[in-house]
Amino acid sequence: MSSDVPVLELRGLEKYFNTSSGLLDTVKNRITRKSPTFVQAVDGVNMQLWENQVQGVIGESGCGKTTLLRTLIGLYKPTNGQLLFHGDPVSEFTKEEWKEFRRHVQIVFQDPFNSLDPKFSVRRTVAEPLEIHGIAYDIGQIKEMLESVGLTPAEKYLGRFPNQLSGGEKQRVAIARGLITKPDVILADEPASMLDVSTQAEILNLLNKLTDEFGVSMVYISHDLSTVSYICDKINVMYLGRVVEEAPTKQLLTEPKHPYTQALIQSIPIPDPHYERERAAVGGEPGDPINMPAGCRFKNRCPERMDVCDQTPMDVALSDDTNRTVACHLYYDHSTEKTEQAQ
Amino acid sequence: MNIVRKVQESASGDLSILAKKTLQNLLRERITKLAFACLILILFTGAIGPLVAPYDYNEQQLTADGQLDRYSPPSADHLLGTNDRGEDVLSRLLVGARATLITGLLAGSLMLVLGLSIGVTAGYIGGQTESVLMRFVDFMYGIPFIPFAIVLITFFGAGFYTTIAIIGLVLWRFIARVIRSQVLQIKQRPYIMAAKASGASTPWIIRKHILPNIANMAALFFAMGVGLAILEQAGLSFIGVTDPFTPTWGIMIRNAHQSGRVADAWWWSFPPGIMISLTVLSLYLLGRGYEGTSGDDEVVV
Repeated sequence: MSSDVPVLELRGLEKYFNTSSGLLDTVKNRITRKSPTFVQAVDGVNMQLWENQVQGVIGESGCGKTTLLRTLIGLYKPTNGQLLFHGDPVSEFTKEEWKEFRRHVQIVFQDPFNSLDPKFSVRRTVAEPLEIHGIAYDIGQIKEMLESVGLTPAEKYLGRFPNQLSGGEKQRVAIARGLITKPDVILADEPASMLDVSTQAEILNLLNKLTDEFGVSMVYISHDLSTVSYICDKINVMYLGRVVEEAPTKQLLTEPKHPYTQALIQSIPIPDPHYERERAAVGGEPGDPINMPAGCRFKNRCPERMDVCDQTPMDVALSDDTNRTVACHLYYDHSTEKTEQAQ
Repeated sequence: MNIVRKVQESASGDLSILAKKTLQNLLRERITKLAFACLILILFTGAIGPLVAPYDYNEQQLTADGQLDRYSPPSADHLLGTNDRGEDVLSRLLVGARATLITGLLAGSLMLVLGLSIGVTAGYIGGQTESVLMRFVDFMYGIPFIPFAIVLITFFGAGFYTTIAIIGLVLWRFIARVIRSQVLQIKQRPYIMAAKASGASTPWIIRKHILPNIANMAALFFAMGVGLAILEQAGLSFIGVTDPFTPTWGIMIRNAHQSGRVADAWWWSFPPGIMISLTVLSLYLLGRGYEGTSGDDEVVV
């Protein structure tokens, strides 16, 4: 595998959902010449996932994280933009290539209680991806995988059904199912959020260990900055369908640039009752993703609002580090932009 | 292939575990246990009834002095007496069990197959397909069953299998509706999405995930379908639009009614009625018990 091409790359990926549901709405819209309204769940996301990299995507509820993930795995068709897998656009995939893609990109869901089929034993659950792809396997392989996700002794778990497993065990089985086909990419949708705190730590450590051990890349989606920073090399901060800041974990935590990121980091709870912290200066609620205001989507809540915020900010690479971008008017000189546009 | 066989073995292993567990859950309640035993007994009667029947079902019995033995009350010779044509009622009841059960099982299976395929297709595929199929189901609901059956039977002639076909082809509608709603619910579960994400095809998902998870519901509605088919067949027999020569329980009631001696010859009219009610009641009770057990193997958050 060449390592000069990212494993997974997004270029201006957009996913809109039509809000008018039925035939009647469509006809009504046709007659009244109203364009149908869209929910802009994911709007122009760029991202590069390299081999062995763990990237986080964080953002509050409803900002499009899960839509992004489902688009990544091909469950939703992107409205616009491109998704490249090892440099090949998935939109041009044939049926066989899709199947191959599905084998190499696996998903771990948020809810372990519903992500395992209640009628499948652990053995069948873990073996299912192999059976789907017609890969020959033996029971030893399954046992080995169960042991590497920490379900020991594996024999004890093989014949169990999901209702005989605890939440943490279920999530381990889900992870084993994801890893059994030796994927290149794991997409994790808040895999720890429905577990209690001690189990969360175990699952996070496990994911950390396994991504190293199996050499897979991972996109980790969460609303919880503390788990993301624990596991990820790089973090993308999403706000209402757009990535507003992208930076290596340490830099993002120590010197956040975007006002939204700053507010997020200020609001990480610190378990010290005597610690006096600044209140985040962000009030209000996230906007309505249907009638999005023009320009920067954060402007109505932003403490640094300027006139120029009515224009859509560009993703700017910060001069000190090429690995880092932020979409905020505060960080670039608008005179140069105008001259560029004029040219 | 070796692997294919192994996979099949493991699948059957899982399924047998599940079946055993479900049966255990089912038989926990006393009333369901009773219904289950009753049903087994009735099925057993259907299987061996014609063999143990003391007389031929249409053999006319004669008294000692050569007269036709009509309307004789229960006695040692004829445990359930005889009917207007001097036939042994017990023999007819035992032979009728098989015909009645065959009607129920065949029509029930036909209903299940139609209801399942239409319900699963509509629920899983959705969109236009769903609209068309479900409007068709609504249309089927608009058909008044008895008049429709009478019309069809005048067209095709009264026959044992014609009746079964008509019952099956009309009454699948309620199964389709319920199965569709179940499928709609199940297809949103993350495990379906996980299978899709690992590249499973639609037939794979339906076969491996959807069908096993609606199996409980399907079994329940199969039981109800069998009960309904037996009832409807009895109804059609009673109004005289089925094959009069196959002695189903429904036909026996009709004959008793037509002879005008339902009240006097209680040994003739009551047993088939009681058998029909008992069969349908145990099927429904079993179904109810099954419904009660189906929920506890999954956690829905």
